[in-house]
Amino acid sequence: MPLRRIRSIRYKLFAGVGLISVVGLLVASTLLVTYEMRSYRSDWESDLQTQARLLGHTNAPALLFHDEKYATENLATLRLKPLILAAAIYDAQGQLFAHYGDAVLPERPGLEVIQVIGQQMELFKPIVENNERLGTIYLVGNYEWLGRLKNYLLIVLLICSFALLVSAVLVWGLQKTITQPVLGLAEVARRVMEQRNFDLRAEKTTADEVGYLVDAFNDMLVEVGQSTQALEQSNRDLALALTSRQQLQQRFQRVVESAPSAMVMVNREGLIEMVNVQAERIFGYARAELLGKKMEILLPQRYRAEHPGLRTSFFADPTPRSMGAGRDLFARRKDGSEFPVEIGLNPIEMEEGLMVLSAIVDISERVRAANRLAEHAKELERSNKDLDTFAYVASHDLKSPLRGINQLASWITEDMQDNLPPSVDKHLQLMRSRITRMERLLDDLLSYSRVGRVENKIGKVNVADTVRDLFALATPPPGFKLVLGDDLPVLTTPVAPFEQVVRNLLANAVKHHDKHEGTIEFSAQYDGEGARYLFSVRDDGPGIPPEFHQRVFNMFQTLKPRDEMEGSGMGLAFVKKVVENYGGVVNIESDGVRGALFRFSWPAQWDDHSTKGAVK
Amino acid sequence: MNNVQGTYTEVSILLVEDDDVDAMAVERALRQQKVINPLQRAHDGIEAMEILRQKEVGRPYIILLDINMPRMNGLEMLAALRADPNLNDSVVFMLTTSKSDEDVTSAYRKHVAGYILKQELANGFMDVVRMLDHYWRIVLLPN
Repeated sequence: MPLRRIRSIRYKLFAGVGLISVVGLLVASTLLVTYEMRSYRSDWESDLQTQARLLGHTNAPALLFHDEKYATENLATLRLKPLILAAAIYDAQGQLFAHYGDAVLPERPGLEVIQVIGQQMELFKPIVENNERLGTIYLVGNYEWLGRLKNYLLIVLLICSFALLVSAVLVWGLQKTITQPVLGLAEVARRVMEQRNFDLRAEKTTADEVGYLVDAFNDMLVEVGQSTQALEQSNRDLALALTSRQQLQQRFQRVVESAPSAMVMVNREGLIEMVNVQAERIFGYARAELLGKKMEILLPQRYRAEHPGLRTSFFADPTPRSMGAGRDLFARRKDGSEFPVEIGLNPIEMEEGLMVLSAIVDISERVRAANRLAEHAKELERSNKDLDTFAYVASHDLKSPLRGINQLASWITEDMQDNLPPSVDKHLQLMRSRITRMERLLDDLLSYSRVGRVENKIGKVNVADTVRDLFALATPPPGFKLVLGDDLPVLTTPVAPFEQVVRNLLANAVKHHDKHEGTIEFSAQYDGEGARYLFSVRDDGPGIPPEFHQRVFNMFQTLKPRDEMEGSGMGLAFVKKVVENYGGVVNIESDGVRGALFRFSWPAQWDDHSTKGAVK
Repeated sequence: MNNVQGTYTEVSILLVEDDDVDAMAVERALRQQKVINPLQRAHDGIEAMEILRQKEVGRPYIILLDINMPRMNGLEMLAALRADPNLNDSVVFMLTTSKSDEDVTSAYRKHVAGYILKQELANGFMDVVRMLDHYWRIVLLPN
């Protein structure tokens, strides 16, 4: 734990200072005590030597004179020196001469020596007077070196203890200035670590290196705090990105799953990575049978060899495209059956790399419908051709016998001349008028059936001139006049149909007029929105009652008996068919009392596309 | 047949027409116009080609040809005529009820001298006969 190591600074400091003091003191004390003990001993020795020389000197005469009594008395003065435990004097022959004390004395004097035995120091010293050895003196002192050593050691111990105490106080003071800020720093660091709170700051109490350290620490905290914050933010962002990416992935999967068409995602190697329930359905495989398999299993055998190459070229240029446009494309079910498909390819960047997501639509139904439609179209074409043939038959095969009848009738009239009874002549005339009517009927029917099937030449039509000419062709009675509106356009349009419409409307207006005089107005109005002209033909004839407005546009409908008014009843039906064929409408406004207004719209511009479908 | 010139050879008419009334109408018009040129009648293309190949019609001749006929129609016969080296110089007038552009175009492509619509004739075939009478007086026909 770093904490314990940091805290140990205090103890290290304490132990260091203590150790240094104690070791110093011990070394000093040892030197001192050694010195003291040596000087104590040498003091003792010199003291004993001096005493011995003194005693020898004083007792020399006694030895000379064998005065034992004097010697004994002289030795007895040693009582004044309690540290001398015993003393003895031996004569020149080594016989004990006098003694003092209770101690056991050696029988014979030893060599001149000073020695320590236990707690005693003993000394043999020859007594020499005028270079003559008179005897030997022996002294035993109470040499208490052990007690003294004990005292010294006690003192040293006391001093050491005191020194430790002092050093402890010193260390305490030191710690206040050095350790305390460091420990404070350590405490702040600990809290920062525990709480992950980088807003905490260490208190700066000193201006020394520790203070500098505190500043540096605080600066570092700011730095660390910022970078931690940034790191945490980026971690959060990353986590968020991760979740949103996962969500995206999930959403993508859901979208794919709920798509109405089959979807198969394939990787670069052509292995199936994802399929939806529709894909399972149309191919007849279970999901587990598809995932991780080569996607070529979904293709008919004959496409399998070339397909990897196509896939490679797709990955080389991964843009969305639909596959097999313009050719029949087939897919293969699990049971081996094939079905026509339409496929859209989309490159998709997944985490695992670039994939291609293909949407596959089973177009069997569409193909069937298209085939049916084509069949119907063919049938329709056939039936149109039949109708065409019928119209031709009507115009030729029905008309030629009719013309034959007509001729025969006229020959009878010619051949019989005036011999014909008036009633027969009248009947023949009626017959010929019916024949003429029928011929016209057949002619109109033929042109009606041709509307929309005949290609008409496109040309410039000056509407004003055209209307004027057509009005003249309608052979109006002398009292009729035509009024043209202003701004009649010049159209580029299929000429014949336009003329047919105008001719029919003018003829209608003239033919059905009930008076000898009449006015027919022709005007035009441009409808910019529909890019069409709205043409109006207004007459002041008897009009058409509203209830007949729709009826007059039907085939073979006339409002008067044909004997009264010759007409096939095809005119307005023809107008309606032509106008509608060019995408226009025709209508009537009339109250059935006086006047009728026919309006029809006609394309203002002619381009081949607009009515190509309508005009074959 | 007035005003006959020295070099004038009588022109024969071959009428190819399946409708008896129309044939009668032509005959009647000829009679009324007092045109007595020889008239041969065929009911269809096959019969007409046979008559021509058998040289039953004296040269020079003109052919009045209907289009709608059984077995071989007028346009088919025209094609056969133009393909036949002996007959491809024949002068042919179409006399028909068909107004169809295709028929008109296809007839002129095969070099007919004229295309006449029966139903446009106000006085029966009188105008046709009158036109023919003038035509062969003025126009030099191949022999």
